[in-house]
Amino acid sequence: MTWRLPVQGRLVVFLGASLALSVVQAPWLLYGAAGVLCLLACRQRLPRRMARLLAWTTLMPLPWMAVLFVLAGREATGTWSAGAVWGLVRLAPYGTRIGCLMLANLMFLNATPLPELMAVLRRLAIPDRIALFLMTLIRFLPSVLQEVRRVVEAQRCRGLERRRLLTPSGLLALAVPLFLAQIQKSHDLALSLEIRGYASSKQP
Amino acid sequence: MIRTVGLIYEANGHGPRILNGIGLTVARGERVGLVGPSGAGKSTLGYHLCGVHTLALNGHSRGTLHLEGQDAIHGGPRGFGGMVLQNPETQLFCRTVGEEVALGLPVGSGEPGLGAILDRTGLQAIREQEIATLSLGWKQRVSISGMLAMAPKALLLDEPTNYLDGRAADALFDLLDDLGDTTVIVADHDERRLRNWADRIIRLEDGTVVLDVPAAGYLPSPPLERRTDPGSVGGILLAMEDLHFAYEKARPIFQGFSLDLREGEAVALLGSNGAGKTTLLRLAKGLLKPGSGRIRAASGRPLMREVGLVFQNPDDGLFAASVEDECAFLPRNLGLERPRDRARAVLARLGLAGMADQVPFTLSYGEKRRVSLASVLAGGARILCLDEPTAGLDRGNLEILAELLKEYAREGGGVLFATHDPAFAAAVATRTIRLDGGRRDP
Repeated sequence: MTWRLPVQGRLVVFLGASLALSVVQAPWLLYGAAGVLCLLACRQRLPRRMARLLAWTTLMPLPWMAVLFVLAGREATGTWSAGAVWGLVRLAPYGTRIGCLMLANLMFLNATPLPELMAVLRRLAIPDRIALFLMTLIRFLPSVLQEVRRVVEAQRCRGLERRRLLTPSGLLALAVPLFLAQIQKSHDLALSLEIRGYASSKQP
Repeated sequence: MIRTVGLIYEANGHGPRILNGIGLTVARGERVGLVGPSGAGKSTLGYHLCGVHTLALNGHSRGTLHLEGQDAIHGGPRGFGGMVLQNPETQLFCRTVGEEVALGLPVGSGEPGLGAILDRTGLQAIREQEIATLSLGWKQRVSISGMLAMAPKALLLDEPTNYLDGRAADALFDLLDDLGDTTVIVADHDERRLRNWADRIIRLEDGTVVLDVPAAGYLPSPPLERRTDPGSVGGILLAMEDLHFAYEKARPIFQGFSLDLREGEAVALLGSNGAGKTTLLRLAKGLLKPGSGRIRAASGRPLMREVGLVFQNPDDGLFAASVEDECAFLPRNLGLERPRDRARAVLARLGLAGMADQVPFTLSYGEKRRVSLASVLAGGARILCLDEPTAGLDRGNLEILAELLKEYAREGGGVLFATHDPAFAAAVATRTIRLDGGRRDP
């Protein structure tokens, strides 16, 4: 299976699959790819925590996206009923594409120890800074969602109602602590990696 | 092995001196405890002694700093020092324990190198375990192992016990005892624990060494005075009856737990990490719903309104442009009259009136904790819950907090707080409850 390939092979398969999933247009191909990926994910026994995260991050934005797609459909067709069909028909492959990309990403990460991936990227002469940036991006995006939940909870305890989260003042109360927490986390993580000899430019 | 003479550090090259002429010599394998109030320069000195100051800090260092005989004022030799931060979760990068430790190994060490370090730190049995599933104590151990993998000559731990219960902290210091000839420097507020572990204690105040003595001769600050008055207890404010709660069905946290919080009471929740202390506070606030049982405020008002909850990390909520705005946020959201007046009154009561116009992010950690408390009190809640309120606080801030909580209870409020610090609990609480996986052990 793919995850039994050497890391280089896995990386090539992952990049190829991601590229294909990004450019393929035919919806039936996307639905087929989604089915294959789900089967592979079952075989790989993706940890429950990862599966939950994937479901959460894929399903959470769907209502908002549905609103946007239906509004676009209304604009394109001139009526709400035709617009809803127009929007949902386009949302289905779009959502499937995003879900597939995230699933492929998680499967790759689940099957690939980061030190091995780092070693391959170094062998490919990719500078540490870029390699770590890419790895941090794919590895820590999900943790931002956990941070969002924590900050929302903290502000709810300070009387901020959920419906006000999308008002300017509500957004500020959410965005500022979130931004600062991520900056702190990035700083600590970067420091820890630099001390361990990764991407260090300040050290003589 | 480490020598400094007249070491000066300024945050911006021309600002106030964080370190002001430090002269020290530290031998190989020495165990050094750095103590002192918040802002004294403990962490900054630790960064210099481990040669990671140019990575961790952006200011300007002057004077003499020699590490293994090399001039290191502009940066230590690569791999000389390792550092473990107070929150292990922010510095772990990989998915499993083995991967994380392997990340720090020199190229070519391979499996024998990894196995040796895992054996040394007691992680061999859990090398395949996902880091996300570990307790904070074990995550701290993985962080240390990740640093030890690069065989540093010196290791700094910056307030490592902030997030740990007593048992996990004991285990951490046992591990630090076994690090052979690695010089270990620990900056922490827990002076008693440091005195029992270290060879030597260095006390800093305002960037200057005011005491440098063998640990056996160091007299730690006495614990906060034990509370002797039982307090004047009134009617029930919050009633929890026959609570059942579980995050996962197979692992119940509470099974038939009951607790009444009365006017004038300060109740301390003690117990190890994972015992259910934070969960109980979240249930009290209404952030979690019990599987069965009942939680109600005597006033009949919703818990979300009647209970104030102060989180462990003040940075989770602070966002406003001034301390006063921060404190007016809750009363404004609750639709209370004159939110700014309320904010000013609470700030005055907590001795923070002078910083009403300051930007919250520029405050020290202890000040942020007090602002965070003020921002909750401004809502007028009669029930106050606090999650690990002592974490990261120095002696001065601990005393202020203890007095505040006692006063709040004296005025007819009820306080429920979770803590790892039995001395603080003894100083503040009228009643102590020990939780063990949700079971109550009074």
